[in-house]
Amino acid sequence: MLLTFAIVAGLAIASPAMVRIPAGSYRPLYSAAGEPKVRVAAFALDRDVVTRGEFLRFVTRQPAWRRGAVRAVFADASYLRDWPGALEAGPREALAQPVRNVSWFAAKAYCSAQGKRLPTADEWEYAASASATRRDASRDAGFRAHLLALYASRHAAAPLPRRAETNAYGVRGLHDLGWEWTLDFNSVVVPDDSRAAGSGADARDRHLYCASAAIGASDPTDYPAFMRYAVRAGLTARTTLDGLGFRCAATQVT
Amino acid sequence: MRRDTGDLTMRRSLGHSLLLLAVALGCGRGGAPTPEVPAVRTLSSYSVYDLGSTWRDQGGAQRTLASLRGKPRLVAMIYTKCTSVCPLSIGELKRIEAATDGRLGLVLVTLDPEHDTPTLLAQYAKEHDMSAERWTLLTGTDDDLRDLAATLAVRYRRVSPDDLAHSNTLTLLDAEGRVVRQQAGLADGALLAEARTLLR
Repeated sequence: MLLTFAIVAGLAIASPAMVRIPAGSYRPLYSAAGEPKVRVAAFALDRDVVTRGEFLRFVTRQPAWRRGAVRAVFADASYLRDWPGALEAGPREALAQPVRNVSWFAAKAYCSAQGKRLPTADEWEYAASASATRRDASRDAGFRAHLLALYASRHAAAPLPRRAETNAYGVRGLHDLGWEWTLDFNSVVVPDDSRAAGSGADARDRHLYCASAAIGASDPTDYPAFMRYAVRAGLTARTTLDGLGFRCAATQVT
Repeated sequence: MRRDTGDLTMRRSLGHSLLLLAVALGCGRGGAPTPEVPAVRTLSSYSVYDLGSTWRDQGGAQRTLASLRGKPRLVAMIYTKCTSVCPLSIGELKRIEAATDGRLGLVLVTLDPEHDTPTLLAQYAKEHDMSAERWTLLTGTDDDLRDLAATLAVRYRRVSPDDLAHSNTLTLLDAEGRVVRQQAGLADGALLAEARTLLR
């Protein structure tokens, strides 16, 4: 399951371990009754979130992504604000911590430099529906309760727990960090008919965050998923947050 | 929401974020659709044109976003097969075109670059009587499209080969490409007023 990736992109940066996620299907939070599950093709996902140390190596090689140098269109004013300097990511122990306060553009550029990409929301959600023991724990009440407790205890700027949880695929810490960027965070999340009256997507998207409209969700009790979708909907491409990091994915599973 | 930095939706804390989101999305209110992008009254600190991507226009010419500098422009993301919301947006843009004496640049960016070739865009422009002098229709790569849509806070997703769900957002840019105002749904008088201010 666990394989070290050698990306054939002529890049010198050592790729951290990736985990192969086999093809399958899952039911997104927002899917109409009777709608088939969403198919997810096999892909590879970083075992761990990207760390400060890894991101430091990236900005060392690519000056355009350093704090103070990054174009304002690509990141807001708090980009990497928890770093002591443009090329200082903090003390040794901080280097192993997840990088946060990175924008979508910066996360995308980082993954691209590794010959990878950001995972899609479908890929991320599919991988994240695995508990420690079951790949599809989406209907596992115990797992749900565990995530709720975990989400409630997380603090944006707190260090990652010493032992991030490993799920049944072998991916670590998917629910520990806070939030993670996805490639299509700005996708319209309800894949049903767009020809509805009014302003279509706008009108439906609005319902996603209203408790009374939770009936539109495939599982209204999946509060952790509600939170993730709501957070994504509140992001812009240049947003940086204390509790928002990322990991990379790859389509090629070799 | 902090406006001083010019970020469209800058948020620091999650709780705050969710609260703002609920407010911005009009949770709990029924009836008319609520704009998902709150109106922005201050200039963004950055230029959308700094994305640096290169597109092709309805004449088939390569166009950098930077080539749009020089006059205020109103940007909408559409696709030519769109038969529901897009014609309304076009009608709105044409009304604004007329109300600004043709001095405002109008930019249509396709959300369906695979289908909307420069040739099709030219045809679309002709059908809708859009002069090349004022109207710029752009098509590009999926990646560049995703970057631009994400920057303009336009959300979209393909729902069938012929259909895309997308937010109906008009963005008013100043001559440098900074966001002056964004509006979901049809433009109200405020957008026109600001466009006029920019053209003054």
